[in-house]
Amino acid sequence: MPLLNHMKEHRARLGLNQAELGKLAGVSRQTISLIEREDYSPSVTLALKLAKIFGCPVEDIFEYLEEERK
Amino acid sequence: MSRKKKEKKGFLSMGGKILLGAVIGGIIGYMFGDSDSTAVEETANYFLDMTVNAYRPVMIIVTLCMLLLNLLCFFKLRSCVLQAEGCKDEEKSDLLDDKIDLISTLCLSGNGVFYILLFFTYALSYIRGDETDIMKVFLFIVPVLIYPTFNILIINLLKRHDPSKKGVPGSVCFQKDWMESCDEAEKMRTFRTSYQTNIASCYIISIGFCATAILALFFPVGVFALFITALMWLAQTIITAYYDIKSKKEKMM
Repeated sequence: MPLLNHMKEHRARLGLNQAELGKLAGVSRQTISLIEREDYSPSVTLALKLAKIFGCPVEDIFEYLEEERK
Repeated sequence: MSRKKKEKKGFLSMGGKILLGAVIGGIIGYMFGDSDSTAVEETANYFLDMTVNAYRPVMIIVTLCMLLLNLLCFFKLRSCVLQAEGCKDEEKSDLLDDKIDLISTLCLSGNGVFYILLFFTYALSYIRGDETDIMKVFLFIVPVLIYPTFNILIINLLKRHDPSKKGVPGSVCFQKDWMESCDEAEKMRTFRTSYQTNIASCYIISIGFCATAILALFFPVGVFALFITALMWLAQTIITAYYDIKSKKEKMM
């Protein structure tokens, strides 16, 4: 999946654990963990929600990489 | 790897599997085969009669196995949920979540297998047995009560683990409510599982129908078996088409 993310760094910056972030974003802790492990690409709605929580543009959290990662 | 190479590899792998199946089938046929179809029939009848004659022990064993599975799963699940509650380590939490998923799936599938065995034995005892035995009704009711009881306990544990989950176990709307309380990743996983299950069951039902049709040439399978498998195939096709059309009309989000 060519979607790289910096969720862990942003989460650490705010001092939140996965469960707390999940609660704020309205998803489970497991979903936050899946996104951080790059096992799941969030929907646009969830990505925007996360960006709002972190207080930064969505591009700062998620990076779309072309085929180079493959 | 290029597409052509992948296709070639796929064909070779399929050919290999067919060949392997033919060799294994040939060996089994050579060792146990009998050109006389009545031998197979007699063997099948022997096992069916044996099950009917011993339906009481069979049902008791199934009930005990079911009880054991549910008890083991419940206590293991409870231990995982309690560990997950106080767990600060995220990697350990992931492992515990995987374990919780695995145990609940195992419990559900195991109960399914025991239910099939139980219904099969119970039905056989009526079809082939000639005695009216109140004991078999009791032996049938007990395991039928075990599953919903543990189901409620396990769902309550899962709800304790994830309080956002909704749905009252036993209610008609349980599955709908549970699904609605799932987040997008959980829904995605459920949809993927359902799609794969649909493909697999389509294969199984079509193969089952063809096998029943072919076996009907050699054994007294009966028209009813053919009718049931055909009906299952038809129902699956119609249901898939119905939900496909319905989902196209609905909003995706």
